[in-house]
Amino acid sequence: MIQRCIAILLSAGLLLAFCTRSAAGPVEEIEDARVRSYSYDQIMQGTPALLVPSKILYREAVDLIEKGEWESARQKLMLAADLSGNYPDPFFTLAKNELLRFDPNCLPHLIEGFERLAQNFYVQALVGANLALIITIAAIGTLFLTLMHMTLKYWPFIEHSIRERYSARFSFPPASWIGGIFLIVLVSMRIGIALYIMILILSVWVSLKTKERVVLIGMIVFVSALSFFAPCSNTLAPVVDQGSATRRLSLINERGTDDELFRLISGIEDPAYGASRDYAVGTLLYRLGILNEARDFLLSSVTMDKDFAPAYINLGNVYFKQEDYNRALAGYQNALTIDGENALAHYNLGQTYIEKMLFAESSNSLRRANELGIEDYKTTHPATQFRNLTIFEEGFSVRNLWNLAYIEGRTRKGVFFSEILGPFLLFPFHYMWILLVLTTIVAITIGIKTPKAKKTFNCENCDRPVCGICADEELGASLCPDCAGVVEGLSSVKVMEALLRHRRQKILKSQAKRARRRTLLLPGGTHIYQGKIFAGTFFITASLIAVASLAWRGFYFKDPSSLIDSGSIWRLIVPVAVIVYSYLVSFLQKEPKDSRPFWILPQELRDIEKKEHERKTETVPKETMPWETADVL
Amino acid sequence: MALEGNVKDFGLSEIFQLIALQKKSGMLSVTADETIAIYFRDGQIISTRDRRSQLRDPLKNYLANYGFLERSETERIERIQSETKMDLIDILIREKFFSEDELDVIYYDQIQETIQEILSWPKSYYKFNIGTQLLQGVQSRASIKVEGMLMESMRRIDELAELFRIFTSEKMAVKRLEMPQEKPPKLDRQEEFIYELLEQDTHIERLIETAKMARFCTYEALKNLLEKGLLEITEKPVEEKAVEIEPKAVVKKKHKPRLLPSFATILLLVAAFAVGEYLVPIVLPPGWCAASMGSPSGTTDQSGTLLADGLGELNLRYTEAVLKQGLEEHMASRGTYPISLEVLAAKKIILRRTLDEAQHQGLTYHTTENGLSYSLSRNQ
Repeated sequence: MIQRCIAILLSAGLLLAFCTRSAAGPVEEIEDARVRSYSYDQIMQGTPALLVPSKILYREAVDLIEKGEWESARQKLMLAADLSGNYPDPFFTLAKNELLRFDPNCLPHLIEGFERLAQNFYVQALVGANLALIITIAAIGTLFLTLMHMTLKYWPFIEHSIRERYSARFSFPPASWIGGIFLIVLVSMRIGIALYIMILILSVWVSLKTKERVVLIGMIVFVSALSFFAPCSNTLAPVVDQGSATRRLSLINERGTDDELFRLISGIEDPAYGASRDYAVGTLLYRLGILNEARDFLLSSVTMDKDFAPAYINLGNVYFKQEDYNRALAGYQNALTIDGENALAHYNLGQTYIEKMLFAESSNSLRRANELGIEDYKTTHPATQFRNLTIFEEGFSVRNLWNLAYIEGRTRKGVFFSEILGPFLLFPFHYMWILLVLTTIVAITIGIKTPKAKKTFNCENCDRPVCGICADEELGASLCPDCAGVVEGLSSVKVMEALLRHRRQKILKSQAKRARRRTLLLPGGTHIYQGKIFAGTFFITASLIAVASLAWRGFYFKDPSSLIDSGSIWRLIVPVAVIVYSYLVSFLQKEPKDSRPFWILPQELRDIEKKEHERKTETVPKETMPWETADVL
Repeated sequence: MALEGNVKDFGLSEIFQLIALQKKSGMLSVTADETIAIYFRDGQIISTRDRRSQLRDPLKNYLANYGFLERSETERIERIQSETKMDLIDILIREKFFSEDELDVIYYDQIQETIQEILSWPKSYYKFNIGTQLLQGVQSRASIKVEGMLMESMRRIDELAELFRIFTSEKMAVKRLEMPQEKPPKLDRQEEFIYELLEQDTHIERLIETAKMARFCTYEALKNLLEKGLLEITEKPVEEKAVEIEPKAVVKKKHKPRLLPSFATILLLVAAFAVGEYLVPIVLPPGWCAASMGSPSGTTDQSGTLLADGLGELNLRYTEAVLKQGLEEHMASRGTYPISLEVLAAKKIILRRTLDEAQHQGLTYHTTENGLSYSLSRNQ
């Protein structure tokens, strides 16, 4: 008997715990009566989160922080965070200000902010789209700028080749003008970065060192891979497009039922989204309490897509509200058959068991719901708590929305990233990999097929460009005509070495001055000129990202609901700091020590001279010199 | 401590002897119209060449003036010296202009002539700096005893006056006489050399320039030849032979075309600009032609889907979304929608930039009189 009494009391307690309607909670804390009233309206419309009131509170908090009223601001930020389940901005602002005040809460708030960022489909998609775009732009830009720097570095080589061929035939325009004329021609044609990249690869490949070729190939492969997978960017298009079917459907996760949302979702006519559309309309009607019509739409949805678990859950909810618990149970059980890990289905099932007085089953289902994270649902859907719901409704899961975006993206005629990059590349980005691969093959072939005599290389003494035709190898080292002219007619290796060294120092000094002026044009140039290719590409990439960030005032794809965009000074300071730092590093980059050996001419030549000298001093008998007898005079 | 003074007060020969006697090491600089440095080690002359290469190098002058080196060789050596900072002696030996033995003799003769020259200066100022540290970097090929050097110099100075009396001008010409068949006079090496040179040239100045011996030695050899009856002086100064300059062979330059490549270059530039302006926008749209600068990017046909037709539409939808968010916020906080979008910007609900973009994109906003509903439409 006692046991039965305890069981009844426990069950009653449990029933009381789950069925008691509590107060609206945080909504009551909103000071502004209008905002509070608006929030209640939204709750009545079935919104899962109070985003607009949250934004208002957040804005007020930011104003308070500016006035120095931190405590009030903090309370408002906490309230803003409570009102919206997946709005991360209040937590980031809290974390930032707590960090400035050495408050240890900054870390949990920062983590919470990132957690919300990860849970929010729209933010996820924006981050993904921005990340993918910035990586793509940085990769193409880095490849282009690296090639430009390499061309600047090896320009004397290219110019030498042109001169060798041109000056033999024509005298005007002078050979020294030809490079400039080609440059003007290329710029005048405005053929786009893609074709410029192709021309630069073909021009510079033969002159590159092995390490530079490896890095260049790596960059080409990376850009080609991005280009090959560029059609995947179409999946991102529906996400950032405010009018796409995916975006429209995703709004049921963010807003309550209003005319505009109803109109937007009803406007989706494509049968590919039929199940999702009917599900969304059914859910909106359910929120308004129009249960029969909601049931019809949800039934239509599950008819079209028999594996659509959320529709079964909400259909179950409709039956639950109509007190048809058996059908409600069937709905939840169907949902669990499709998705056994659905916390919401377990929870609603548990609630239905309670209604049917099946407490043991209810207890199991609720425990399972708890294990699967029903509390997380409550946190991300705070408004559902304000409505004191017995059962919770399902929206679109992140996975569902990505699937929708994928399906919708496939219907695009063009490629999303190709359209964004088109004005700069002037070439379809998704075909750029073909261009790059072909260019690389041609460049490698040219590199292999070019006869050694026509290849340009450095003079072993002064580093000036020299080719097989004009190089002087009489002394056992490849010298340019000028260096060879300096030692012409001389016989002493020591004198020749001294003359060559003097010339080398003079030439390298003037070259270094010129190179410094040229390479300071863009960050990373000095590094590439000095052969530090990895550091060079790093600084180019960093500067490019900073420039893009400045040009876009943050990110390319922006969140219309985000207030962080509204002019944080760090959006300006950080990119400018990165650019300044990159320039500074380039400017302060010291000229590396000349790695050339002290002796230019081969060791054998010096050995011969040394032996000759030794032989002479050994064999020649010393003559009696006049001064040795001078005292006799 | 330095020993310094004027030769009028204390003769240079006495200074030389004093240094020799005291076996001093250091540098004696003698200044008249020019300065010559003489280096002593333990009282013996070791060099007359300035170790810092700031003064005239007597050895280089000696080699150049007396025909040891040709003009082109001198220039080449000077270039090597200026570029490599190598010592003249080092260059001469390494480049095999002279053997070491030949250079030793030349070196001695040059010092002899230099000493003779400075001793003959009527006015000069001298300064002797003592110290072996002054000898660092001095390249020397001899250590000559002062006494012998002084005696020989004095002899030369004395005899030179007599020689100048015989050969009054360097412009004079001398004529070689035939060597008598019977009892030919005995000639020393220098006399023999000058006698042979006379076969080609009879001009004393040119003889000195090519004799490869000191000026005094040339005069002395000429005098000896005169005394031995192998030479006669031609009183008339020799007329300067007009140096016949061979007309330079005019290398007919291969005429390279100028007009055609110039024209082709201009054509190329014009064609490149035309390609960029007209062809590229057609072949590679949108192109960067001046006509389409700043216009929105092209559209994509997305008929049948809800997706935006191009980036322009995408941006427009974004602006609409921002404005709607702002309007909703205003509604929540004020209870009505604003009279105009300006209000949103003024209340900092949206950025001024967004408002400008909205206007630029042709979005127009209207609200009802009670402010409870609004319309956001696009200008067609």
